[in-house]
Amino acid sequence: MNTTLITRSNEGEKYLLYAKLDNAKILYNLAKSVNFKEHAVFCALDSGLKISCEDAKSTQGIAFVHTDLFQEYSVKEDCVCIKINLSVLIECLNIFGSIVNSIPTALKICYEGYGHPLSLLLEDNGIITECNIKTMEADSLVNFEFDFDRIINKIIIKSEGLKEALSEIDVSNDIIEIVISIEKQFLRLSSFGLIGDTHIDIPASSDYIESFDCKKTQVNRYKVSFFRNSLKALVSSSKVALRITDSGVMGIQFLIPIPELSKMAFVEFYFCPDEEIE
Amino acid sequence: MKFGAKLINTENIEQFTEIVSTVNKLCSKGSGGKTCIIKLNHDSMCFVLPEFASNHMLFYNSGQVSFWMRIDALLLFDFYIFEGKSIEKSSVMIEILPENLLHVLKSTPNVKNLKLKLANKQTVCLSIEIEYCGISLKSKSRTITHDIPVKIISSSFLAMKDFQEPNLKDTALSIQMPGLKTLKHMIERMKAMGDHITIEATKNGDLTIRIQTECVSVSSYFKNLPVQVKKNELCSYSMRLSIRRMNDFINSIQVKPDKIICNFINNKYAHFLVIQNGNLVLHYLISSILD
Repeated sequence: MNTTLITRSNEGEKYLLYAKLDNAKILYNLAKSVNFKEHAVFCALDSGLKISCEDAKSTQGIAFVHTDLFQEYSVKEDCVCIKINLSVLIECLNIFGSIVNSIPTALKICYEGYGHPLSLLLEDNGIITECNIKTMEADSLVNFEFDFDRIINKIIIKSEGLKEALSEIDVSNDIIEIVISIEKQFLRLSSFGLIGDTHIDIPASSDYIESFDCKKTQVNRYKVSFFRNSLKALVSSSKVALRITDSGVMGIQFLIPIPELSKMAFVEFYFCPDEEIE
Repeated sequence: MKFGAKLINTENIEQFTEIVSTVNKLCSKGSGGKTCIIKLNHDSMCFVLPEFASNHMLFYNSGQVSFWMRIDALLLFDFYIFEGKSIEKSSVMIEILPENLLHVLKSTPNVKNLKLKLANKQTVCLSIEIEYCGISLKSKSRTITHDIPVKIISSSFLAMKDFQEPNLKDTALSIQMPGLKTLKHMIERMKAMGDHITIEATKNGDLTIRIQTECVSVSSYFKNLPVQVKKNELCSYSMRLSIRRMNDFINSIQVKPDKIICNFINNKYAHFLVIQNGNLVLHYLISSILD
């Protein structure tokens, strides 16, 4: 335990957001998993931190760090949202690197409010690094209208299964087709390349599939790049929930285990189907 | 002139390889070609860049670097002999591409011993005779000779005094840098965020490494580092350097140093000293960025 960052319960008083994490790596890994664009919206909610990254209003990646992952967490307003350079935040969180067998880097996050930078204080072995990241006004994010009432199909699959399937996809084409069939009881991933078509079928009875909740057969095509954005999250996750609404909007939820705290974190990706004239 | 060196001990062979690897990396970032000049003495070997011809360190452009390295040949090699042509010519300077030497040293892992000498084979060469262990206990060992062409630099072209150890007599403050691993990682991360770095040291042994850009400011505070104050003028000294040059320097150190010292002389350049067991001294100079 690093003892130099002294816990004083009234230290957080002057900050709009004040949080302490014993292991900066937890936030580092979660932030990295949604870093497919340089900037992100950083929100401090009552329930925890939400880092949202969006690309061309067509895809969104959200990492959620619940308050129970923090040693201390306080936010003075309902929702404090700022835009920051996520790539810079990630570099700062990793300033000490990961030297094996050592005590993890401790992190303190402080934000005084509008016009102030987002302050990070990292401590490792007596060395303190202070980072002040410029904040900007948060852009409004696309509402994917991911209505949970409109989910037609939901599949929970073990991450290794999805990893294997995605690795077989031919990248010469930028489209991937997802079929969830009620008659054939499978999840099919297809790609249509220059040489030929590739189909990967995962039956509902497969060991990889934990739950297969299919109300109607759906065929949807999505951009491969949207899946690629989520690869980092996939690699660190244990399970994935694929949910598709009646309009084909895909919502992928990754369950990320945090072994040192025996807790879980969630990372989600949302994107719309590719409109293609067949 | 007589020159011969032999390495039998695996540890010494590894150390020599690390040294040559360091020289190779240092030379590849030089502003001239990738060659290096090795000055052979009766007890040491000095490695310098050809353009480092003066002890005055006159930098005309910002961002220039230079280095000077000396290894204790009698300690590093298992056998070493060098005798100059005469008392006046007690050392010789040869120009070599360290890349070639490194390539030979890294050729295979089963090196039993290594012999170095200068030979005249059509042109002057640094001849490296390597005896490799046999594949099995019964098979005989093989010997392969590699000849690396070198150029002998005459003493009229470059004076001996040009290769003297850079002096630190005008140092105001010397501070020991934090560990290489920490430093390496930190500089690499800072390089991803900005172009310039400021190093500040105080009389109390506090060191601050800082970058400041439009987007972010990052400051790392190191306390209680060994420090030597030579001139009691100011409480603290600071220098602004190119992160890329600093990163090149840190990444070129392939040996395991005992300490790295940063010397603040004037605000024209940063003078780093990399020391290993007293048998290796590397001076590395980076000209500072003036506002």
